[in-house]
Amino acid sequence: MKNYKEMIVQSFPVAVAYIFLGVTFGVLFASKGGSIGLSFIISVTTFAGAAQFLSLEYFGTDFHTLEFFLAIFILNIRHIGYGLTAIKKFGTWDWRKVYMIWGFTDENFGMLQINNYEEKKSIFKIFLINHFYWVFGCTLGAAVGKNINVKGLEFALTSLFIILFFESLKNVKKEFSEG
Amino acid sequence: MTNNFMFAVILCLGTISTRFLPFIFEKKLMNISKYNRVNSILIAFLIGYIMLRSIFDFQNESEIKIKILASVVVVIIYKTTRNIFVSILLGTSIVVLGLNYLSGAIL
Repeated sequence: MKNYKEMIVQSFPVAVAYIFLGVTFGVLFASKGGSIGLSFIISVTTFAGAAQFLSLEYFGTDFHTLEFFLAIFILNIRHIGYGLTAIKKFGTWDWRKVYMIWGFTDENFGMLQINNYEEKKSIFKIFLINHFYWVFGCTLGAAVGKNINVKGLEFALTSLFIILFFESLKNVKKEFSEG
Repeated sequence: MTNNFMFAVILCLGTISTRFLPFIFEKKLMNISKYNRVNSILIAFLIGYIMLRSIFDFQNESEIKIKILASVVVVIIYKTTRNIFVSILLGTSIVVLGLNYLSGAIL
């Protein structure tokens, strides 16, 4: 089982991207009249980058509940695919599994592919570390407001996914060459 | 206050419902996840989708060009050095400099 120190090093690209994307969300959320407390609560309970950014369109308006729910649901529909790939890895039902499903973001899905975690405890730990980065970023962003320039730093995550994509193509080739 | 509460609840429900869905039917879906080929294709497809979305989403043409250039650099550096950290650092630096140059923040 990997320790926290090792995992913090592994999660560095996610940390850079999450903190700066989180700050961007917090800044935009505050500019729409959102409070630091609500930014913190949303990032803790939702933990979803794209959905949180989409939700900014609805925040502070007289949104239709069903329309808002469907918009978020459709945006996140790819998570059904992520879940399919992790059914075996997440194992039997317990509180850790519930949290891992809850926090199964694009980036956590990426971390699972790049690091071959065998134990449920390791997966839980890395998800928890990444969740911390996200909550920290969102709360900080709402606190500092517009006084910070974060443009372009989110590309750290894109770079990670470019590398992951090449690695996953290699796996596909390997699967087919093995017959 | 009620509106903010509803906002947080709907946002949370909309997100976690998609995440829990495959696990609610996991017994039925277990057979699919046993096939390594299906799994590896699904993973490649999903990662490819996220990658393309993060390069092309919500950008103007100049920003997309910078991101494509940086993506090519990431691929070349990663293929030659196999170093994830250096590849990410260089790619991100190009995008940060490029976007700040475009917005007039530098020069």
